[in-house]
Amino acid sequence: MIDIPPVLATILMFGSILVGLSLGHPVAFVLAGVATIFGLLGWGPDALYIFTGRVFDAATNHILIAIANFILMASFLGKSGISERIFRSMMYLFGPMNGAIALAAIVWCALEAACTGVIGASVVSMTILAMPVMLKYHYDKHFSCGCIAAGGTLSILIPPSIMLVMMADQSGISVGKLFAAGLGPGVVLSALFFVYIVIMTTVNPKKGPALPFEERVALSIGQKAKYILVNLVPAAILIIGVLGSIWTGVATPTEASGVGAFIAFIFMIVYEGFDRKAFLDCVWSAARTNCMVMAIIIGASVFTAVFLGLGGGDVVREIIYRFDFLGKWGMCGIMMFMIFIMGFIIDWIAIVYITFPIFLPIANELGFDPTWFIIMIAVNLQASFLSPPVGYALFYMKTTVPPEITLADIYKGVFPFILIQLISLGILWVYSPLATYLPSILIK
Amino acid sequence: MRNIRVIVKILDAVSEWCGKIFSWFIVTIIALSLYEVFTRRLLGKPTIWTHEIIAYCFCGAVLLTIGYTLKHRAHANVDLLYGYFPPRVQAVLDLVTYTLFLGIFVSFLLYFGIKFAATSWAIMERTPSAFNFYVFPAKTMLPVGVFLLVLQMISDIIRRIVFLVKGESL
Repeated sequence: MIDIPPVLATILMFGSILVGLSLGHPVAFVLAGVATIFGLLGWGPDALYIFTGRVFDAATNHILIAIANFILMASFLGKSGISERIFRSMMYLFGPMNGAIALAAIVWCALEAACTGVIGASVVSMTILAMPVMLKYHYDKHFSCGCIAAGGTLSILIPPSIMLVMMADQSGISVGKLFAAGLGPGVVLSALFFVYIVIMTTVNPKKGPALPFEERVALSIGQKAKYILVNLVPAAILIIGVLGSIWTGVATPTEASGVGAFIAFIFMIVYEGFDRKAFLDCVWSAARTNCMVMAIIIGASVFTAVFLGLGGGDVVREIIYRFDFLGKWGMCGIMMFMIFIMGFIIDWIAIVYITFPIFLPIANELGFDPTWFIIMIAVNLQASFLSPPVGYALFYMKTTVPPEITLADIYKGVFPFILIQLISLGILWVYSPLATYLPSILIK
Repeated sequence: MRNIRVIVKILDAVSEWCGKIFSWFIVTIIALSLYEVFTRRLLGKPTIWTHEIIAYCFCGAVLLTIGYTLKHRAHANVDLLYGYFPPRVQAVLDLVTYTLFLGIFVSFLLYFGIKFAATSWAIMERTPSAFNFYVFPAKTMLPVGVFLLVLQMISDIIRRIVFLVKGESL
């Protein structure tokens, strides 16, 4: 056992994470490995017994079960073909406007976000559905990448969202309350994306033209209206079934997520018929994704235990309190800045599990509304999905785009959208009821 | 060489089958959630057992599939630098990181995990709830899951070594 000074421990632990991640090792194992090494150095081997409790608690955590259900629900929904129908509906709806496909993509993402809570799924399916159409009609490729990646991140802010589930677990605030709080900022952000696309394509229609005339007149207005209405019904059922049952108290969030997965399963059968292979693929891929997410939670949880135990938390705390001359808003800004910077390098799940035990007590001492503060972090972390080099939305996208689009194209495309996310963070900063009003009337 | 190939094949098959079987825990969770909503809301008779059984299923779905997820390389990692290295360098890096990060973590977790489960067996620990069920089924999953992860890790390590020495990918 060595007595590691807390400042040194902080620097070394984060440094080792950086080294481990850049060597391509899975995030979960890097976190857990760093925790083990520093636990050994600082505490000696016997103290590592606490790891078992940490792992077991995460794996039997009742709130986190919702994550597994939401992931399977997204898989079923992806196989049901509903996404494609909704996307086509949106293209009919926005057809005559400039940037029709981009607008359809954003609105589709917002709707999908209200149905599911998993980010990878919407980025991937939107890339598959919208990207070929956008390229076909000569949309600017940077612009297209930005729209899709940014739209995909909406699913973590608009409820249901597995990120908000984790935040509820870490903060002790109910899932239902955080879901209600995320809705306002999510809608505002979607609207900002929408307005941005309208402005950009009006100024320069070359970036994103309207749908060509021949495509638009293929169906009469009546047929289109019918198509749109019919295909929005499943989305409405899912939204009411999941969010409705949580907010009216019919089901706990965990149960509601199970109900949602079941509804999605029914849709899959209704629309595509029961296909044994497709069903098994859904179950297996959901199990892998769930395990990946949970492994990171476990890794981050062990890491945090050691990090706080070695005094790293106090170091971070002290840094934030150094800035108390800036007042409480200044300190809030410092915390947000730290999270934003961490978002460039570290995985969002790890950020939630590492920063919450340190930042939430500080926010409490400073007298911030905890719900507002958490949603601020959620909006902030949304940017981390888009911020290179480690932005998950970008990676998901890269795996599905046609080869002529490079990672650099995607980086270029998302930049304006990160700025829009920061603007929405600013709006939420000055107008806190955006996050706190809805929970105050929905949750008694 | 043939023996090595057989060993890797067996290890992979174990991961694959365990993963595919234990994935069904998620389906079970959903079925039980529906059952609970049904009995509580429609029949007005909440059960006392679903809450814990669902948690046990989740425990299985998470812990018993870690090796399977590793086999499919589905654990999120950052390809940014790593992706540009030639395959041989990647193999060397993998050997280093597997030992340094994953290896050291799982050896302690396996050792303490066995102790953790054994304690629960020894005292026939029960949950402090109305259901008052045994805890050992869930706690045993921890060392078992870690053991499955170790098996897959060994398979991956053998693969890298064979690639480095013989230049062939198994």
